[in-house]
Amino acid sequence: MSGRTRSDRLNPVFLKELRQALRGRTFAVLFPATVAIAVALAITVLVDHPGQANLGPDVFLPVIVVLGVAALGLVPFSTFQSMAGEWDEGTQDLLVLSHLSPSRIVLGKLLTAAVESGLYVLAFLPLLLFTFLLTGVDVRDILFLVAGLYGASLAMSCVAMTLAGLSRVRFWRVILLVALGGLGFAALLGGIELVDQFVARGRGLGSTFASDEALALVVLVLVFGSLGFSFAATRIAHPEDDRSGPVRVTVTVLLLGFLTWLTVSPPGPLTAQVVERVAMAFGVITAMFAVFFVTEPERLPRRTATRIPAHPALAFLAAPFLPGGGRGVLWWLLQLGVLLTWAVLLPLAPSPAFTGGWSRSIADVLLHWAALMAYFVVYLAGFSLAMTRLRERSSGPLAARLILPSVAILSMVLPIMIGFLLDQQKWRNGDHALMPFWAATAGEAQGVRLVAILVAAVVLLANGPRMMRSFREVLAASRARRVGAVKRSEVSAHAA
Amino acid sequence: MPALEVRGITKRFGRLTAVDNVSFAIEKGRITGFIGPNGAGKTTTMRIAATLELPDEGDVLLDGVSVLDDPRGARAKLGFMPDSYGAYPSTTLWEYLDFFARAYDLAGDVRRRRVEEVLEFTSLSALREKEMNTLSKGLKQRLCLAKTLLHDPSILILDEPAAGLDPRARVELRELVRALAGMGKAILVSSHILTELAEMCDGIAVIEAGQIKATGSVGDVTRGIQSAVPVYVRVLEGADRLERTLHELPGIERVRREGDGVVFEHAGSPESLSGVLAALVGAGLRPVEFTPRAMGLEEVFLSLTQGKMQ
Repeated sequence: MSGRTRSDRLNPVFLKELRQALRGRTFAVLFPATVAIAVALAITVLVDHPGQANLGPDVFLPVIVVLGVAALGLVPFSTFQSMAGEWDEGTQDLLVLSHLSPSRIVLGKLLTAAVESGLYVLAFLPLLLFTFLLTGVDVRDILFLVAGLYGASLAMSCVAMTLAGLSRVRFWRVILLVALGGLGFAALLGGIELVDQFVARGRGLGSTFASDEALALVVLVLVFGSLGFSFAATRIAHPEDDRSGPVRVTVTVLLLGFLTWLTVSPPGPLTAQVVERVAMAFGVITAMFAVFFVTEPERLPRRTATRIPAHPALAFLAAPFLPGGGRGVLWWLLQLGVLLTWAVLLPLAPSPAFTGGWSRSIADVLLHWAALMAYFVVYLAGFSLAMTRLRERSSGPLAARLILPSVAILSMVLPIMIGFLLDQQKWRNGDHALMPFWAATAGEAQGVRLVAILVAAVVLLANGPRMMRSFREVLAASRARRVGAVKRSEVSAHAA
Repeated sequence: MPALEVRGITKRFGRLTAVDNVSFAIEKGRITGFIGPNGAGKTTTMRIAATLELPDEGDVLLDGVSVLDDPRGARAKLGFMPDSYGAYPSTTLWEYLDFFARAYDLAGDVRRRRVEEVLEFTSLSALREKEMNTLSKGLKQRLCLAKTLLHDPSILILDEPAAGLDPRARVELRELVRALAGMGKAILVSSHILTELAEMCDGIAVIEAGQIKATGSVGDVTRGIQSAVPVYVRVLEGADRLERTLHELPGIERVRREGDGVVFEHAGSPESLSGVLAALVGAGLRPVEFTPRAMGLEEVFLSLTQGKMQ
């Protein structure tokens, strides 16, 4: 098209938000204010300690804390307001009607946060690098910490967008904003501790501590960032669009990413015990996400049905990643399948990662893992099946999402309370048949484990028709698309 | 083929049936007023037609494109102006329109030209660098209309566009809507200001408690509900004799005095009404006023609805 400019390739939301942010009073006031505070703090430290050697850490800490407040507080707050404003100002409908996809809208807001945060970093960086001249701070540590803070700021902005989309009620918005503030504060405290370790205690890059911390930081940024992004995109999508698929895909990709990383470059030796614990931990984490998916209404949202792959094989493969309670169970079983395959194949394969060797038989390890997962099968597949009628009501999924974990927690906690009342030592310690973590690992719980697996098998059998229906629905939608395509081509041929 | 065809749509929110088997159609170049009390189902119907809500039953076709089967295709043909227009603070008029033009994938010169065109059409060119939050409600409404026209939709759905506007802004908006209909666009417009709609619309659709009570041209709907037309007659002299004469004529009902003249109700055809006038002249009365009073839109609305709310 004639007259296309570079700006045509830019994300429209990004362009609009950037214009707004740079013209708005908030940024115009806060940006110079934070820089001025940081400079004032640096000067105060320098004046208080004239001629002192190794003054770098003393100046670095207050300056990066101010940058942290801006990057982890002000920028995510601005992103939260921007997202919430789409509902408050009634522009969300206008965006939905345009050609912008939900992910493009969220990406536009994230890019704005990236620029805002980038401007703060650029403004603070000379001051932070100046601390290198004061000695006591390594320039690599400075760059790493600033980069980490920048990444954390983006991840926090993604979380902010998710929180802003959770409720349209002003009261809950305030609560969510407070929650965002709490998260930001926690992240800031964690950051201060990290900076303290790096700069003040000399445990910077090159030390074992630093590599572990760097890894943790990258993982946290990746997990919170990607999940926040996909959750935010689902919140701004139309209710009859796919509001579950992007999150399912993100969690699966993250799981595969972690398992690949653990296999290729593990942080320590992968013993059988570590493999078992990793499989258990990821099983439980994916189960927490599955709570949202298994409690969805069963039917495929109508607008999603029109986008199912027309090819039956692709539709079959896509089924676990499409919305619907039955497909939620399928999705979780798929994650368990991935974990099981990894856990079984890792020790058998000649992997350099697996160096510890098996201290127990593989069957024993798998039995423990299967027993733990059996409890979650009952919670997720069993209770969600029992709540089928509730889930089909308009606010049913939300109620089911509250009931399901409450029942699970109660079943674990109630016997402990009874143990206190009846003075039963074992129950009081949580050693009872309804406590999955005890049942899965305790030597004396062999029988309980077998019963749990048996009950889970029965629950899965009861879920069989539900899962079959969910598959059939996807395949029917795929067939309808194929038939529609044939009809359309016939009509065009006839018209031609 | 009608430009906009609502086919038996039903929408339930829990136990409440907000829209119950609603059907109507709008041809190209026609303006249809969508009238109903608060909570009648107007906005829900409009949001379904705008692809923002899904009906439980039925469908809406926009130039033959189903909002259910192809919402994206339907949106390309549709311009929707919601009752609460969206505004972005710290944004100029030009930036606002430029943003939405980009959001509709308009690029380069085409985008710039289109933004200029809609600014010109809505007479906002002089204010292009003004920030949105400094605009009056009338100007914001015009800006929202400009935004709605960016992708040149063939069907416009305007939800309460005149709400809160002063008389001048209302007249200006009315002229804009008429001009758009003149360009061949099919327009569905809801408003509480019925006199406004009466002057603007070619047809009406009256909805109450989620059900359509009447559809058609204003004249057709009026005739459908008005069995007898009130006629005001004033004669040069002899109002008493006029009253007596009218009582004696066939097809005349409810004769009563009103000021200097007499009002009667006539249920016959226009020919028989002209016969009444001829009879009065033949009786030696000298009429100076003979005015049939058709029902106004407000009276039509009141007689069709009972103020039911859901």
